[in-house]
Amino acid sequence: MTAWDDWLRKLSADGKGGLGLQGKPQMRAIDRGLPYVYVMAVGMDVSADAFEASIRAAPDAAGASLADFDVTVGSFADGVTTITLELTDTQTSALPSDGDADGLEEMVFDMLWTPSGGTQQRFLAGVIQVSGKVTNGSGS
Amino acid sequence: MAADLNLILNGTPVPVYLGENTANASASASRAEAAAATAEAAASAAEDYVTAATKAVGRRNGWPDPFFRRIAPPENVFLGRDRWYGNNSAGEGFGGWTRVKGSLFDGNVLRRTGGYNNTSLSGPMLYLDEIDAAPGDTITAYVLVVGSGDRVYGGFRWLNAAGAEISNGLMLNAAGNTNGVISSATPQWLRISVVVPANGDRIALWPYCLDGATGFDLVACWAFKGGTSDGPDWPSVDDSFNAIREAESRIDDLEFNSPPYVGWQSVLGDAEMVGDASYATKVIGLYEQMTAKTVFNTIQAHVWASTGADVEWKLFIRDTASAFNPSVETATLTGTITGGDFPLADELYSLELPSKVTAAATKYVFIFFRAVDNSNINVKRWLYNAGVVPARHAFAIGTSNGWNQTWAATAPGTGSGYGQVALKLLAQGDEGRELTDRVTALEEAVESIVPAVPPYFTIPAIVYAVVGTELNLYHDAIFSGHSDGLPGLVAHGVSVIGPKGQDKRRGFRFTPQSGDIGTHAFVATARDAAGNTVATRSFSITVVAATAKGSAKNVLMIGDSLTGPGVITSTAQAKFAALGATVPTFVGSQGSSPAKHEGRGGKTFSFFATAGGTAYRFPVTGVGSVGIGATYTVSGVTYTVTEVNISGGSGSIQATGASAPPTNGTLTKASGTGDASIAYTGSTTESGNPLWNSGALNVATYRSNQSIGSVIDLVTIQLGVNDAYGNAAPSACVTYAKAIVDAFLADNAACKIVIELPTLCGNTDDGFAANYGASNPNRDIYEARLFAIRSALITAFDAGAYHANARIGSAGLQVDRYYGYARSSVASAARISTMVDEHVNGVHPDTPGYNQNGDAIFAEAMALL
Repeated sequence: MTAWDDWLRKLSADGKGGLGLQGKPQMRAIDRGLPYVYVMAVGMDVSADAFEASIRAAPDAAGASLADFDVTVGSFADGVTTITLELTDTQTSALPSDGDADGLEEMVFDMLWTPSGGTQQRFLAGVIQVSGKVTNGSGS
Repeated sequence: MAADLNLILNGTPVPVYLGENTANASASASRAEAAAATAEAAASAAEDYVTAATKAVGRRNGWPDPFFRRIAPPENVFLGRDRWYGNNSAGEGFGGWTRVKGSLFDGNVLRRTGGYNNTSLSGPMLYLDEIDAAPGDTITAYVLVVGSGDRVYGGFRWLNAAGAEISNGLMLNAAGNTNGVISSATPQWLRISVVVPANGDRIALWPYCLDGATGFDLVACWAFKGGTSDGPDWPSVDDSFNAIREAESRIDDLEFNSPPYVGWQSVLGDAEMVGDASYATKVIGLYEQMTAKTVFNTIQAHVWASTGADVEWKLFIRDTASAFNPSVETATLTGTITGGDFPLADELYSLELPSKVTAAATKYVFIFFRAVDNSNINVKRWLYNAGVVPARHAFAIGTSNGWNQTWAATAPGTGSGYGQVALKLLAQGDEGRELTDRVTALEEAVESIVPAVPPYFTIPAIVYAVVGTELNLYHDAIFSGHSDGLPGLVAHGVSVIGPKGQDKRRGFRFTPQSGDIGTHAFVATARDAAGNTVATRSFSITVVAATAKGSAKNVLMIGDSLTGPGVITSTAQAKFAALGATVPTFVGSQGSSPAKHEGRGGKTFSFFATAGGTAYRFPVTGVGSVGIGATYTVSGVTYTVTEVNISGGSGSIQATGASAPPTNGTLTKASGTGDASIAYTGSTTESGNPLWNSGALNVATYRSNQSIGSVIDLVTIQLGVNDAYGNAAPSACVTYAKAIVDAFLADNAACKIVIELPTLCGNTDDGFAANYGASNPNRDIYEARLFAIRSALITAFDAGAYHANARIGSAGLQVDRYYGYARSSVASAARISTMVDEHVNGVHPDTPGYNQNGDAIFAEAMALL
C-alpha cells in the first residue's frame, strides 16, 4: 500500500499504468549512486514522438522535480518502439534520502508523451523507489 | 508473452513491455502479426469460396429484374448497363412494348402489342459475366408469358462484346419444339438451354407473335449457368426488391425536397451558357449529352422570343444527335409558355417542366422552342474559338414555319461560328420552385420600386465640348435633388469646380475658345442645407476644335417624341453645315433632308430593340389634350394611344389596335385622360421598329430600306422618357440598349454609338398638369424613374464599360429645365387675374431647349466622328 493509492488507482483506470499499485507491475528500483537505465517497449510506432519523464516527491509537490530522466526513443521494429529512461549516478545520488530508515525511499514519476503534431498528454505514471546504497561504487 | 501493461493512448489500447520483458516484446508482436495475416488469408479464401459458390451453376439469376420492377421503358439502362435489345431503332426504343402493373407476381409485366409480329425483335438482354458464364459453358434462360390465344414464340440471339450478332435460334416450349405456346391466362414458359459460342458476351431474348391481334404479356424472365436441371423452371419470388424500392423512393424524395441541385451543366460552368453572339429563326433546338443518369425538371438556356406570342416547347430524350422531325417523333414532354412569360430580350430563361424527367447516361436531351405566330426564336451562340475544350457543338434550327420539318445543324466551326451555348438541367423540389418564384417576384418588385436613395449625380466620365459652342451643365439636370422653377434645386446646392468656364447660380457654363482645346478635370459637389456634402462626381470636359470633317460621314439619331419634331437633328446638322466643307449626312426614315432622323414619338428602348409591332397614325387638329394610354374607339375597334405628337392642338396621335382604322373618322374616348372625341383625317399604318427585319435587328437591311449606301458612322440614342413614364425596369432598358449597340456594331465595327442621358422635364409641376392632369406618375415619380434609368445606363456603358465604341452622352444635362420648356402667361386662377408663367408641356422642351440638346450632340459628333 502506498501513500498515493487513490492516485494510482485512477491512473490505472485511465489506462496510464498506475505502476506500484497492488497487482500492478513495479518499476525496477533506482539504486542510489549508480546510473539507472530502464527500457520499455511500446506496442505502437512512437518513434517520431517526444517523451519527457521526471521524478517528484509526491504528485503536485511544490518546487522543481527531483530528477529528470534522459529519455531516448528508439526506432519502431517488429511491432514495438523501445523507450529508454536514464539517470546518471549523480542524479541518483542526489535523490532524497531514506526518511523512515527502511532502505527504500518511495516517490512518484510520470512520463509525458507528445505525439508528432499532437498535444502533450500523460503516457505512464506510478511509484518509483530508490534503494539505499551500501557499497560506494566506483562509477562508470 | 503477455504485455506488462495495456495503456490507453488516444483511446487505443497499447501493450507495453517493461524492463526485462522488452526482449520478448518484438517476438510477441511478430507472432501477432503473423496471426493477423493468417486470419486475413482465411477471410479472403472464404470470400473467394463464396464468390465461386454463387457463380456456380444455378446459383445466380442472369436477369436481375425477374418481374420488371426496375426496367422502365423508354429507359433501358439499370444497374449500370443497357439491358434491352432491339434489332432496329424501333425495337431499341421499346416499340410495341409497354410496362403495366402485373397481376400474377408482385411487379410488372411487359405487354407486347398485338400485330407487332417479328418485324421488330426486342426483349431482355442478359450479360454472361453476371453468371460467370464463358464460351463453352451451358446457360439456360426462360421467359414466362400469358395471353389471350395468340401463339407466342421465343427467339434468342448471341451477341459479342460490341453488341453485334454472332448467331440466333428459337426457344423451346415444354414439348421440346420451337412451335411456341398458345397463350392463355395460365403462365407458360419458353426456354433455351445452349452452349455459349466463341466471343459470346450476352444473350438477347425476344418473345414475339406471328399471328393474332391481341399480343401477350411477358410476366417474368430468368436465367442461370448450367443446364435445365441446374436451375428452377419457375421464377424466384423473393421480395428483396422492396428494400431497393423504398431506398430509391427516399432518394427521390431527398432529391426533390432539397434546394435545387444541378443535374447537368457544362464542365466549363455557367460562363459557357452566355454566348458572344446570337441567332434567330423559326424553330430553335438545343441539346446536351448526359454523362450519367440525370433526373431533372428544369432546363435553363439563353433564349428569347421576338414577339409576345405564346411559345411551344418540346423535349426529347434520344440515343443520338442525328437530325429528326419534331412533329413526327414522339416527344417526351411538350408544353406551351404563355406570351409574356417567355423573355423578349436575352436572359437566362428557366423552363419548368410539368414533371421530372430521367435521362440515362449517354442519352441526348433535346429542347425545342417555337413561337405560335411563327416569329423568330432567338438564342445566344458562340463564335468559333479553337481553344475551347470541349469544342462547342452545333445546335438545331428549323427555318420553316411550324414543327413539321427535319431540323438542320448549324456550323459551329471556323468561318461560321454557330456553336451552341450550354444548357443547364436542374432538379427543383416544389419548395425550391416556390422559393424561386417568390424571389423572382420580389426582385421584380424591388426593381420597379424607385429606390429611396440619397440624391446623386448622373454625369458621364467625359463631357464633350467644341470651340465656340456653349456648354451648359444645369445643376438640376445633373443632380437628382428636387428642383422647382427658377430657384432650381430647393434643398441642395451644387457646384461644378474646374479650370474652365463659370459655375453660375443655375448651372455650369463654358464656351470654349481655341486655347481650351484639350481635356480638363472637374468635380461636381452637392451639399444639403446644413452644408454637408451628399454627393460628388469627378468628370472631364474634352474640348475639340470646330473643324469641318474631312470625309463624308453618316449620322443616325434615334429617339422618341423629342427627336421626332426634328429640331434636335436640324440643330446639329446646321452646326456642321456652318463649318462648311464636308457635312455629315443625317440619315433616317423620319424628318426630311438634310436632317433626317429616326425619332418616333412614344417609343422606348424596347421598341428599337425588338419587332416593335404595328401602329396607326391619326393626323388631328383642335385637340385639347390626350393622355398616353388612353383608349379611343372608331368603327368598333379600340385603339390605345402610344404617342401624342401635338403642339398648339395640331399634330398627330399614334395608337395601336387590333386592325387598321378607317382613313378618316372620329375617335371616341373609351378610357383614360383626354378629349371626349377627336376627329382625324388620313390615318396611316406604320411599320414597327424600322431596325427590325426578318425577325432580328438588322442594320444592313435598314440601310438598304432607307437607301443609305454606306455604313453609319455615328449613332445617337436618346430614349428613356417613355420608359420612365411607363415604369420600365432600368435593367431592361440596359439590355435593350445593348442589343441595339450590338446591331450597329455588327453592321459597322467602327461605328460610334452615343447613348444620351435623356432629358428630364420642365422643373415645375405645371407641365405635367397640362399634359397629364393629376394622374400617376406625377413629376416626382417620373423624375426618380428617369434618374434610375440614367444611372443604370452610366453603369452599363460609361467609359467603355460595355464596348469601346459605346459611350454615354450628356445631351439631357444641357437643357435648361425652366427656360428650355415652353411656358404660357396665364391668369393665376379663375378669380385672380394676376398673370403667371406656367409650363405648358411636361417632357417636351421648346425650340430653344431642343437647340441646346442639338448643340450637345453636335459637340459629341465633332469629337467622335
